[in-house]
Amino acid sequence: MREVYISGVGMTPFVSKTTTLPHVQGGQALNAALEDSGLDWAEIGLLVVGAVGTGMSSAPLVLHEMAWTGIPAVAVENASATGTAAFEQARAAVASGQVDTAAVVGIGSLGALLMSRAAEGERAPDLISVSGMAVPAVPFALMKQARMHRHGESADTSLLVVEKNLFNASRNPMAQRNKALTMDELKAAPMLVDPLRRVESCPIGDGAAAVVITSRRLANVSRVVRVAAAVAETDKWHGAAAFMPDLGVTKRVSARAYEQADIRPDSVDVVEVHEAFSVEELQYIEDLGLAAEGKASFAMADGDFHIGGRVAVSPSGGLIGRGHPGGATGLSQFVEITQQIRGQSGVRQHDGARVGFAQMIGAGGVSYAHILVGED
Amino acid sequence: MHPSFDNAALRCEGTSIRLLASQCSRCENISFPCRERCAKCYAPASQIELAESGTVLSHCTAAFPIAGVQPPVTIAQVRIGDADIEILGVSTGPVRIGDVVSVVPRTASTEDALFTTYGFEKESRDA
Repeated sequence: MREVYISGVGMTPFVSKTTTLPHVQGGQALNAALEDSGLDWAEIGLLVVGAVGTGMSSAPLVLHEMAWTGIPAVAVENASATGTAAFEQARAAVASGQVDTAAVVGIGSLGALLMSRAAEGERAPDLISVSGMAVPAVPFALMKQARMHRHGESADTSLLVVEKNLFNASRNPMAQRNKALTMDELKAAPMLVDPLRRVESCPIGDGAAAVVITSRRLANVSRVVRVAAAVAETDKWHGAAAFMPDLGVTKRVSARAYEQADIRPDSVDVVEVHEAFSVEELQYIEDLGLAAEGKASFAMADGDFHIGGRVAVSPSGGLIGRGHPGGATGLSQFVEITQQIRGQSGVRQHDGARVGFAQMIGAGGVSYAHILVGED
Repeated sequence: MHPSFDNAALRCEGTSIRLLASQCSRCENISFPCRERCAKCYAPASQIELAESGTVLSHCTAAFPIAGVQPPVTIAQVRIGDADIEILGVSTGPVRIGDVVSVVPRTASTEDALFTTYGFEKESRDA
């Protein structure tokens, strides 16, 4: 397999709602990524579109926003991990030598899809509906309650994640939420599914993100970004599999990613995770080996995971602050980490960022881990 | 009693219900709901009945209607008997981690039909 490099990144601002069609947003993000790479569109050999909740023919529609060059184009879907799944398809095509250069785009609104499904009318009851699991916050409220019992965390502990991520998002012009909140304001927020407050869940929104990947080290920036590890798995069978995600999968994919990249957790500088709900970030920090089990909140309170701390976690604002449109979410992690490694993150720059980790899950469930390394 | 909401998950007889699962002929893994082949290794499996009570592993309370129940709605995550199976569902009252709960019948409805499903109820004795 050949080395693969991220040569260009781009995204649209994430917003709660837009009338701009998904494939048009995709074209805007892709144009930004192409300009960032310095490549000509004619050099792109493959387009993979991560599309969630969009109609038919998403891939050619995005292609035609650029130019009808006749290259192969395909759309993939993997719930919250749709953009990451698209990245994986393109990365494998470049690594295997099938193409030298590929473009990846994430589009579509997961929230809009869930809302339209809820409005489909009454369906016959099934295990998901009778158990309450049709509400995405429920399994994560159960995860939070179990952590509180196991580690002695309070109901306010995971608000540390929200405070940090909203602060980061308030300084990210691409973020959907742009207002930082104090701990006192967060503690006064209403419960959604007790012990999970409404402010602890990510917003529903829309937006697009894109990445251009190549087999060559381009000279468009001072520091190239190499994909040092790429791991994908699905959930394994577990006792609560009829209802809940596999809580062991993130540990498995991250261990494999560290081994593949030959990198230890203490070398990681910037991390983006799937914290659709606050408590997930505490869990994934521990699963990624960045804190001992049950200790993530203490390290977070000490500032370890803030920009400028030991390792910056969710410097973009994460799903809670930057937003979680669906198709674009996973790719926006690659945008953030690439810009951090290049030193292009402005007021959010984590000084000395060289190694980044992107973790993503999707309902069903699917799981991904990627490690990106900057090379001078 | 109304018909089961899912014949692979719940058997309804007279006034009683039983959660159904299947046990693998090769690795002995228990799959829920019942299926012809093991969810872990895909070898043939045979139907079993799960225990009628379990222990609360976690719980949460929704401030809006869930699963046809008006708020506050308690959802419990319950380890059933000695099996490595966790069932999630609505509890008729507040629970704590470690409580022992019984599996009890509950009614679910659509616009034009009624079904029997399951829920949990805290047993009077403590865990």
